[in-house]
Amino acid sequence: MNPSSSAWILLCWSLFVVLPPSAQAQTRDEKVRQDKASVQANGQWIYNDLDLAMAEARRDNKPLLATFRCIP
Amino acid sequence: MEKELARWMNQFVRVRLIQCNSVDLNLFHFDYDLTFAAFFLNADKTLYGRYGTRSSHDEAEKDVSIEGFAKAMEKALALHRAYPGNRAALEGKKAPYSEFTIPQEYPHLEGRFQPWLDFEGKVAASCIHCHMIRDADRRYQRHQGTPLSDKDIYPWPMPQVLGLHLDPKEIATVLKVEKGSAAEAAGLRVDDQILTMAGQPIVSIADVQWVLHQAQEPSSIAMTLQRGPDVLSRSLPLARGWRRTSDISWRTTSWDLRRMAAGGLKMRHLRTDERREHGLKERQTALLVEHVGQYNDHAVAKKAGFLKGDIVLSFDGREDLRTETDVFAYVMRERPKDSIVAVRILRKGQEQTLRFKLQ
Repeated sequence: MNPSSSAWILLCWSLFVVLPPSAQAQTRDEKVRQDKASVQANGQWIYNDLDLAMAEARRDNKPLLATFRCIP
Repeated sequence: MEKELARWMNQFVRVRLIQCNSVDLNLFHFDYDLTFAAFFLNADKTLYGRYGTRSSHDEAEKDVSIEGFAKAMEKALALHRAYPGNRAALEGKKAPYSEFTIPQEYPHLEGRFQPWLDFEGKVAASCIHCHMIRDADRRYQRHQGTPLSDKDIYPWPMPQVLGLHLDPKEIATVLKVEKGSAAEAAGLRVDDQILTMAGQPIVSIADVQWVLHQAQEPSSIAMTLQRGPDVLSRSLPLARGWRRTSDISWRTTSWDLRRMAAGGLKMRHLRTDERREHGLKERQTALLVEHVGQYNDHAVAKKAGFLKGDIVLSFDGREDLRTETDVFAYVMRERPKDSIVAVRILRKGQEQTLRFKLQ
């Protein structure tokens, strides 16, 4: 993963903030599925798979950053 | 700031967990009322630290910052580089043993949730939310007839409870020390940087809360601080009942306390001017009913006759319960489920007594 773009930083910080108004019109199920698709497409975070993350951390001798965050 | 954040984040394997279904409760123990919580850890499950603090419903972001998060990551990376040489110092960050290893093992959640989310179906309904863990734990203890401890009633205390205000833009730097507080008694000063507490390296305010959450009482917590060029040792005194000035009303999990302890009422204490308006003394219980639960188990008080706007003057004979939190604590510590409580209220200038059964 090569996080260099501002868009990536904003995705990271969006973990803290609420969704924009346009996203609020969707059902919660739709928001969750869209969020999953966005995160997986972006590729900067492993989505909801701790075992995969642990394996990668072990392989690369890197620490893990595990966040608990559903959609706002 | 962005470059700084990117620099630190690139050194982690990053995983976002969006559910608590099947979460290992012997690994991930955090403030379950948060909507964002982060863990820094080794692949062998040794914790370097936590990040994520909240003390308000409406201002969810006031206790966190990009700057603080970046500094927490920087510190966690330093701990990773020093590992396993620092293993002993990290022992205290481990979650205490949990009888229930995953949330679905709690009786209230058992059989209702699958190990994984149903992305093809009703994904939101298939999710165990973080706050449901605390709700399930309190229900379990209540059902067992176990009085809740202060640790369970006032979880993850903010350092402000001890008169210690920390800067969210730093790891754990003192912004303010209240006069007459435990923090002042410990000799803390503005700009002190907390390095360790109870022998654990501190990477964030959440780490400070973790130490406080685990603390016995009465007790004292050993601290090391950076003050200018000096590293100092201090001891933070924790008196019996020190947690009891915490306000838990903002917490999502307080809604289930409202069900159990207040029949579904949401209350707030009257301000001084409001008390004067109603001719009520300053030290008297005076809780305004802001909301009356309408459905199912949250409608017990409604069925008993409570209305929005009622002022609670005494609760089960107690006239010293000044806040909604005080009511929760009193009931969860001292009144078992199925007890009947008598509540004296003031409505349009007239007093009356209503009764309901605690859950």
